[in-house]
Amino acid sequence: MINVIIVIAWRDLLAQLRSRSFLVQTLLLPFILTLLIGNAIGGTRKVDPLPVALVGSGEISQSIGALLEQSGLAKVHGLPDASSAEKAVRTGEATIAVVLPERLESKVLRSDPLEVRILIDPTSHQRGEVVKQLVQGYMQQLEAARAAILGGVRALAPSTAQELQSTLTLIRAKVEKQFQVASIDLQTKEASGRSQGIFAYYAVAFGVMFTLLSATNGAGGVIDELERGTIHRLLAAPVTPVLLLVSKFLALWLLGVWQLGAFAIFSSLIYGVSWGAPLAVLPVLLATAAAAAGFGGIIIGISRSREQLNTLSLVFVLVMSLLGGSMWPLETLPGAAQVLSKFTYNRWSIEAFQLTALGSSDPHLYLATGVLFAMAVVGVVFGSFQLNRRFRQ
Amino acid sequence: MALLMPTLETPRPFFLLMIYGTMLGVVLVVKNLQKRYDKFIAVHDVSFHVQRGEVYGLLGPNGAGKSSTIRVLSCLAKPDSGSVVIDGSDIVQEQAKVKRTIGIVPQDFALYDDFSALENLVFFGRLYGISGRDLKIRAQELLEAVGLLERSHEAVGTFSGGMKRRINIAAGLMHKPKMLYLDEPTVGIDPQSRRKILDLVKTLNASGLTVLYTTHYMEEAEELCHRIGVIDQGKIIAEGTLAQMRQLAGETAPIRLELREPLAASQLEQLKTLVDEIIAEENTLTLFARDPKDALSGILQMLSSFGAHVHHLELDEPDLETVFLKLTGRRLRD
Repeated sequence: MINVIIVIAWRDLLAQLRSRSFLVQTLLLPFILTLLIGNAIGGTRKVDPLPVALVGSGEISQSIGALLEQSGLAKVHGLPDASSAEKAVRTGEATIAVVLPERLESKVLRSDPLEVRILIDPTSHQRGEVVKQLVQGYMQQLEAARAAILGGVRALAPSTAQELQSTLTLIRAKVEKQFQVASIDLQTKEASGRSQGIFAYYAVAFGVMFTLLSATNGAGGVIDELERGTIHRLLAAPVTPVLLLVSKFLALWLLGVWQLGAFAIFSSLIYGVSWGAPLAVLPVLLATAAAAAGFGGIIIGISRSREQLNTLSLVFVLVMSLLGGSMWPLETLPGAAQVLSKFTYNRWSIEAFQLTALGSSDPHLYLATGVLFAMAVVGVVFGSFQLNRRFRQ
Repeated sequence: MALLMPTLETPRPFFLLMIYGTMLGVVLVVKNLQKRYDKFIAVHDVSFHVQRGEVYGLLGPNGAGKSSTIRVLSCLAKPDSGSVVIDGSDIVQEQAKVKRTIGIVPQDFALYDDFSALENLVFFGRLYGISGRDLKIRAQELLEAVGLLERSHEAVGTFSGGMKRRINIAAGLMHKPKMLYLDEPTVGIDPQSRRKILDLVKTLNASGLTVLYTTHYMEEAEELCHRIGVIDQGKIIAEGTLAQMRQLAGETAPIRLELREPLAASQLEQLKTLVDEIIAEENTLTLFARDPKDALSGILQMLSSFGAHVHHLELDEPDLETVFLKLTGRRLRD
């Protein structure tokens, strides 16, 4: 029984490993893509400051501009009015625009309502949000200062002309003092997070994505066999449907292990990407390969022909890679996408590998590994059920 | 026709079928086999048996139920009713044993194109538990038998259709089966390759191998098969040796005519007075006459009086095509 499983699985594995297109797709392409995209997006470069359009005049406006420039996150250029600021955001000249009200200083003193408009390009919403928080923080500081002055003025009650003169002098001095905008010492420093830099992130992300692609390749092999009739020849030999299914999924799993394992070894040797301690990486690698085999099972289960499988797998892998963090870092995804990403293999695998790379034994690592194995079981059961139905036809 | 059917008409207990098979040297006994796919009955109450060392032909047009029958006999589909006993083992109860007894050569090239001929044979041999030296020797023997020893290390994907067909047969023989199913093994190949395959089947049979051969080529059935079962619309409509089948066709022999224009119904009625039976398909006529040579001059005179132009005329000896035409009103290749 085991002999039959090994014979069939080994044949499938050998067929893929002999295929030049498979080797290009599963080894060469992830290497090239990691090199190109990892360097283009991240690599060793520093964080580029965002172009920020600032509308406003006076001391407060200058102070906000200086604060943003000092943060290193923004490159500020002044614009005359709100419409030109909005145009700058729409045309991509600025990622964020801060529109301050006219005569801001006198409005502050008169306690007039203040309306500060901030326009953000949603494609850079994360860094735009940081700039917005900086401006909001500054305005809150301004509001606190105004309250303090108002309190001081209300506490004064002059009774003589001399006292009035003296009070006015004090108020002027206080206002002058308060409105000498205090310089804020803002220091921005780059620090690699969980992904150990964007290059390492993309190595893991592409490794996972290409494991899914290799699983679809293997799944395509099963569909080819159904169409060619070799599956039926196997079933006419002393091979039961269960043995055949176990063999096919074993091959898909081994294919994933081989592909991801080889990529992990070579990317750490050539690019210096750290995947973590081998003993910690192994369970995640096995779980990811199993999940990929499960994905292969789902693709087999829903495809009626090779053409259909090619189209469906392309759509599934693309969507899962977009949502699951293989195209851009998970942290940059908007809220809804963050929720949807939990249904993708990519997310759980990338998160698990990020944790192994840090040498973390966070419970999330075990959760992610468990989820991957669970996804594998669901996919294999579904694929087996569907394949078994087709065997009987 | 009843005379030609095997003497298994009355229902018998299952164990008697097994004893029958073992005692009388019968390898395969199919009794009242039925297989349906949803509402479509692919195999309808089929019964036949195959003697040890015999080449039994299942002859019928495409879609007649030959491959569906083979699927059931190969343990790839469960019969809905009826029984099949192969070498004393029931195909439902003792599937593992049956699978080792039979060799399958499917209609498709069920081979791995990316593997060499030798690798394909070794792979299929391993599935039957053959290993080591025995495996290599068996593969080499078969490659030699099918005339592909010199190309044993080339990928099957580079082979011609005929060569693939031969490797397909070799793969079905790796485990030395007692009985070989050949499902339309000559479809889509050139005459030279076809000849090689027919000769190979003869050689295998001469070495004692029992063969179940499905085809829609009557010439192949006539050349190879000791007995033939004619199958149409899922039913065996005639069975016997070639001589018995010719007898079934009677004294009649077909005259095939191709006319420029189809005849009118009244003209066909008049023509019927000269022959036993007419099958008209547009401008093609197949006429059955007891003495076709005598009838021919009268037929041509009548056609001339109708103003009909004869393009093509064929006068055949009674053959399986005649039997099929006579029984179904259709040609085998329809």
